[in-house]
Amino acid sequence: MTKKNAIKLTSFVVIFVLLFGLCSMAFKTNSDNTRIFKGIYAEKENSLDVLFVGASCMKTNFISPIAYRDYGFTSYTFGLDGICFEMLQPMMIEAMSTQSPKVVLLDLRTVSIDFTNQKARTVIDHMKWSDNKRVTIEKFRGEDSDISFYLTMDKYHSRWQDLGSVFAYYFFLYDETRKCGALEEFSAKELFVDNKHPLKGFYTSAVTTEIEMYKSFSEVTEEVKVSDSTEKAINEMMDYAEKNNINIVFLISPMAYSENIVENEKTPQKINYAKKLVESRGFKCIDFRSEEISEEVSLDYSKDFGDYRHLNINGALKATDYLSSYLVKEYNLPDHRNDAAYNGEWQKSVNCAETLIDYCNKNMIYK
Amino acid sequence: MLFTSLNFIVFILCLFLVYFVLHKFCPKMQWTVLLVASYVFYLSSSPKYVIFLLLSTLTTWGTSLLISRENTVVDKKIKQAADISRDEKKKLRKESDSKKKLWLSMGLVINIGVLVFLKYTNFLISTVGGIFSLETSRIEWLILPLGISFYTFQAVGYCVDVYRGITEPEKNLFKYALYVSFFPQISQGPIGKYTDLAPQLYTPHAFDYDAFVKGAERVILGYFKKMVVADNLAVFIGNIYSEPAEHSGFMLVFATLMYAFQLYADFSGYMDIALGISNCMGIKLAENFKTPYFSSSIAEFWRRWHISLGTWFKEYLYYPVLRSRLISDLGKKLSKKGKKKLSRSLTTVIGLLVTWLLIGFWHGSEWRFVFYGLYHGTFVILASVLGDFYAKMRARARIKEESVLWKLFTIFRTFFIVCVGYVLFRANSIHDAVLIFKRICSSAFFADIFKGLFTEETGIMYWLLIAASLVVCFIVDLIDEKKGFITWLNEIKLPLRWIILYVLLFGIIIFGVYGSGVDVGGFLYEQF
Repeated sequence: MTKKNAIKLTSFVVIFVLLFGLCSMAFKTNSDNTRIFKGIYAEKENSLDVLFVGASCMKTNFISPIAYRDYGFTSYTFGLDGICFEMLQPMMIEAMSTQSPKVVLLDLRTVSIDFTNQKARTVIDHMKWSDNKRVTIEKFRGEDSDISFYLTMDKYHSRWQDLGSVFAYYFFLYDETRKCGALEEFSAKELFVDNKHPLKGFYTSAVTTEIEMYKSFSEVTEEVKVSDSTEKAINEMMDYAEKNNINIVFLISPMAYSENIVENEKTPQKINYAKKLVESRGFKCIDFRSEEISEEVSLDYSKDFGDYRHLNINGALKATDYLSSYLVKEYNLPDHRNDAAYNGEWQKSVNCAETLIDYCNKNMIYK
Repeated sequence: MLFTSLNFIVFILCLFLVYFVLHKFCPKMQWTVLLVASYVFYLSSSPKYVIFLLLSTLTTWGTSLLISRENTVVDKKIKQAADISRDEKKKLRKESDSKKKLWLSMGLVINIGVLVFLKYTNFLISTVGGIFSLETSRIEWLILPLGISFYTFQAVGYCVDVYRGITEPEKNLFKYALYVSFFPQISQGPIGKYTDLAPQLYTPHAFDYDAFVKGAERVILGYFKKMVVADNLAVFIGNIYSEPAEHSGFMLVFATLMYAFQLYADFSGYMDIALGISNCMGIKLAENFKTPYFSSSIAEFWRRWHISLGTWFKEYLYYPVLRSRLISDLGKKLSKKGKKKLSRSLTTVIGLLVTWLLIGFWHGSEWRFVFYGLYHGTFVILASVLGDFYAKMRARARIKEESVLWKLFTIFRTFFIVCVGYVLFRANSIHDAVLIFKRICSSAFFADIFKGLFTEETGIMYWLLIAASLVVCFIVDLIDEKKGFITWLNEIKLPLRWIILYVLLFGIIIFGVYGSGVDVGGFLYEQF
């Protein structure tokens, strides 16, 4: 082989590898989930006081920048769409590889979401390579081949029919933060190179749904056993927290009861079972369905919900205020508002959040 | 080990490395790498059935040596007996021929016998049961070993060539084993000729950049055809053909048309991969496809489709049948009665009937394959027997054969005939095939006409992909028809060439059917 041919062949292979890498990144991208996952890695090391880990209700029901603005502590809502409880521990361990929060709030509503391979992959494929990732792969690989964890195109290439989420990620396509100009607080480098999440994991849409409660919270007291894998995951989480001295608190964030949620999904019943389980082991559970908290938060079912499972911006403000006040009292959280190491970046997120709140209130769609 | 698995890609890359490195240090032993690789491939794919490959290798090798030894013995005898008469020489040769025939027959009986036993026993049982209304059950352990239809024919062809004196036998068992088991061709052909293939296998090959690049380009094209075109089409066709009674005649016609493309893309895609891999190592396998859907007649179609199978049947069955005593005596009898034309036609028809019957059988142990063979055979026979009549009719109708319109007409006509045959080929049973024909030719043609076209798996994006990939295949074939796609590809400027290759490569990576939890199911012709 001549030198010229060797260069040609090498160049072809190098270009292929680069394009393949870009392809893999693009196909793995899942808009919100990708942004939130990358965002937790982008947070300054050991800068978070509170960590929220859970599903989408975590990211819609608590506004970290507003908590900072009003109470001074830092937090991140590490909420991935549709995630099941089994994946919370790997997510928590992953976040805590660079953070040491004083308290971790775990989304107990995830006990009603069934484990699937796709959910496991949502977490695994966003993780950086680490022991946590290797252990998670071993535990949750299912029938996926080894190669699909290294060459993710093996798993995700069929997403070519649904590449909208890739564009959504790169252009914040469906995001109200883009529409209202709130992203202008951040440079392109901060958003796409440093992967900073502008709202520290928070997400909302300018939609309000008028809720008709099928049953009140106090009417649904029965318990339905969660799946074996979920129960095992809950116990393992508590064991892990005890062993590693992690302050975990289980959170049942605001929700509403539709007929489907109560009768078909049995979500409240499963949550009741899980709540009993964690409290029996001495772990705290903040339950927004309780009379005491309900009264204090005073959510308006005609104005504060985006849908039955998620608050809208107004509801999130109320929940944030209540929860922040509680956390500051209970855990003696620091106030960073005058700390130069924090207030530069966090003020941007606050400005972003305020612009968004304003926009949502002015452009609310009522269903 | 599937050709479309990542394991296979890694296997090939390792093979190339070892193959070419060994050339630097010990070129004479380079062929051993191919032998080891071939058996590694076979054992990884079909470990239990390697015994049949070994049996075929040993028996045909032994047979060829015995035949050759017989030649040597009789030549020696004749040489030693200085004053032997002509008649005695003739007698010795005749005796020798009988012995050679005996050895050849034994070799054929063992090899063809094993093939027939494994492939057709269940078919025979169910046929006899059907005729005599008996309840029968399949012998489940009778499974067809990987490539048996292909390597048996290749080995048998070698034996016959030795018998005919076309080639000297290979004395080295391991070299011969490589010829029989060469992995790129073992599972789906092409069925090679010893005189063409063996010298290439045993000759050392240094790394040749041009050959390697052209081979790699062909492999990429093959994977595109298989993984993007064939495997995606399989989804739709499988849905329709699995429940023909649920779909309109129109949809069945459309599915059959798509099957024509699936089968071609699948089989020719495999060939591109096999030939490409061999080309990378400096070995040129025989071409097995030459844009068959551009054929103007069924006879031409079979000169362009699965070429090596047609060639094998022509050389080892059709001509021997024509030359057989029974047929040549029949021909002589008719000629003596002054019926020379009838003699020629009848002997040709018998030869073709036998050949096409067996071609049908070769494809599978079901009656629908037999009818498939006879269906194609009928057109070949009609063209042969009525060739002059057709020419007269064309002349009367003043049809210019060179005209573009006539050419297009014959191409579409041939394609239509082939597609009708595909109903038999693809249907799950003869009952299903009949049902499909009924639904096509009745009012059921329009019943819920588009049901099955758009499903969860086959939405708009799916059909856009199918359309785009078929256009790519059509363009490739058009270029192939003119000068060969790989030749053309290497004549165009480098940037454009790379763009085409990257489009094909990323087409495979993005649109190909593969991955965890995906049941790809191998290549279609592997089942034969």
